[in-house]
Amino acid sequence: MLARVILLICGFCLWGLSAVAQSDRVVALVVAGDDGMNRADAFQAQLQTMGAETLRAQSANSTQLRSLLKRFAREAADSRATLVYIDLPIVTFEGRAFVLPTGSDLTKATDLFTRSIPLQAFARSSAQAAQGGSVVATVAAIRDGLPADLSLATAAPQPAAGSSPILLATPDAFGPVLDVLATAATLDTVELGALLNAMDRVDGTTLSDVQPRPVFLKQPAVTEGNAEVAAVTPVLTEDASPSDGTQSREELEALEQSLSRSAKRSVQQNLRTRGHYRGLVDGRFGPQTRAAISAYQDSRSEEPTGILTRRQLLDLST
Amino acid sequence: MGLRFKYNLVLLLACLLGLAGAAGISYTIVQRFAIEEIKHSINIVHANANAVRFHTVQSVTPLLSEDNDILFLPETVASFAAQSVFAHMQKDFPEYSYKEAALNPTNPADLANPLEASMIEDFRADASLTEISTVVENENGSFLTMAYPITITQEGCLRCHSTPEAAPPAMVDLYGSDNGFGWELGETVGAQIISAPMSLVQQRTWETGVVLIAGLSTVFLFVFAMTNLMLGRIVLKPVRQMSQVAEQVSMGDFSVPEYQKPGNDEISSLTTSFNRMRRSLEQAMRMIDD
Repeated sequence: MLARVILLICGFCLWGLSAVAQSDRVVALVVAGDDGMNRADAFQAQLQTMGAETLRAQSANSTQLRSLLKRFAREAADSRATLVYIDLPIVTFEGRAFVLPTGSDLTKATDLFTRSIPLQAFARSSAQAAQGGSVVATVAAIRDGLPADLSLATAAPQPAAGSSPILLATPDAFGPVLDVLATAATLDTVELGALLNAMDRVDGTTLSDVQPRPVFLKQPAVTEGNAEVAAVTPVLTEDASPSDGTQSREELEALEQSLSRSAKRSVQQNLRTRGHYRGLVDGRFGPQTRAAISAYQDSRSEEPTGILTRRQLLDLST
Repeated sequence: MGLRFKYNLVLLLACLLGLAGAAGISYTIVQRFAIEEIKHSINIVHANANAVRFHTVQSVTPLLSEDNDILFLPETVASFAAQSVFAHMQKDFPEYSYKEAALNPTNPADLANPLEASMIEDFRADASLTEISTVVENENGSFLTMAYPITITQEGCLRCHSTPEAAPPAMVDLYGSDNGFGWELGETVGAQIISAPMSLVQQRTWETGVVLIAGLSTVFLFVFAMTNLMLGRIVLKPVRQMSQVAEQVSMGDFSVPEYQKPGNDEISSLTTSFNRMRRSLEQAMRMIDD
């Protein structure tokens, strides 16, 4: 729990200093099958009110939906915040949740691997946005029966590193969830974490994870205030930094994955400024970024692990 | 029992004996050929599967793995590509089956059954083994099954099959972190198993056998008809006429006309000798009468 709080604070502070190549778009993906068309329309209308651009997938088959999801991930990478709404049957198998696109009939449980899309894929796509995003899913009823070992999802999956929170709702809970969204849409500032928490209070919904950072679906007009947050929070994390030496690799990887895309961009930008990084400032930590981090660690006469410690992260973020 | 009946009886017996012998010899040879032919078809299926695997690894996987940290596409997996291409091929060749069985597969649907596992163990024990063919009996009949080892030869394979931590996160989202990890370079992890029913061999053998027997029978039938015709014209008809003439002459009736078969075969010379003997007999009788 403490680790999560520290991560949250750390994420919070890093979010503030993330002005590199930041787009101001809010992008949404609305996916629905034949049954959920009306619900999806209503949800999309509210997103429109908030000023989000919506990519709509209506009754797409498995391949079409994969392709749309990839397109959405690219768009998300060029946006500030994202929201995904799914209105399809979602089944659980071995503790993982899978979205069943239209026309994916299953004869055995393992058909899921080739005919469905992991719910996490949507959560990972929405996490591509600069601030982040989340997934809201209504578990639509299934028309035909399911093979043994499979059942409709009843609760949100376990949180996974590098993916955004998922709110799972029953069809009955859709009305109240939509009301929460409609109420929020009338406000000037819509913060996704608060919105999800409000939706989570509706009966029949579960939330996989708290939103680690503030994500604004509707941004206040003046963004100057954010800089203050950034200035204050490093002091908080400075207190936590003595524990640097004892951090395990897993903890550091988790820390890194909790960073927003824009925070990763600013790290890359700083590595560029210091002359270690020649790659794209795209917020993706690939082999080039790893090499740059190692070079940076080397330049500080620290162990070149390729993974930033909290101390190094803070230094690179200023 | 006439001459024709005796001759035909012997001919028929000889024909039946010949047919039986031919059928017996052809059965073993044709069966061997049929098995070879089906093995050849299985080899073509195997080569096709390998081509699909190669194409996928060379051209498709690099193209589609860019977003492996978001969405993992099963289309990038060589084994999935080979098996789904075969599933389409199976619509035209429903009797063949193709499976990529592994001891620790990523997709539990590919888990080897005990027989497949034993073949994989054979491959693991003997690296020089490149194929195993065996006849498998199960509740659906007997099958000719051929297995080819799948060995990890490329470093790239281990990206998805070493540890869940090293694998693309989206792949773990899809398949979970329990299956298909811990593979090693140079290890034989599974086998391509291709089967065709033995009834196919029986069918080929039967088809070829029927053609052979039908051909032989036609030939025998023709021989039958021709020899019977010739027997009648060359032997039976002259002999019957001669015996009729001889019958009357022996009764002292020399009024019947002489019968001379044209030609110079044995029967013709017999009629010539017979006529000469008749004339001698006739003279002798006349001398007695005088």
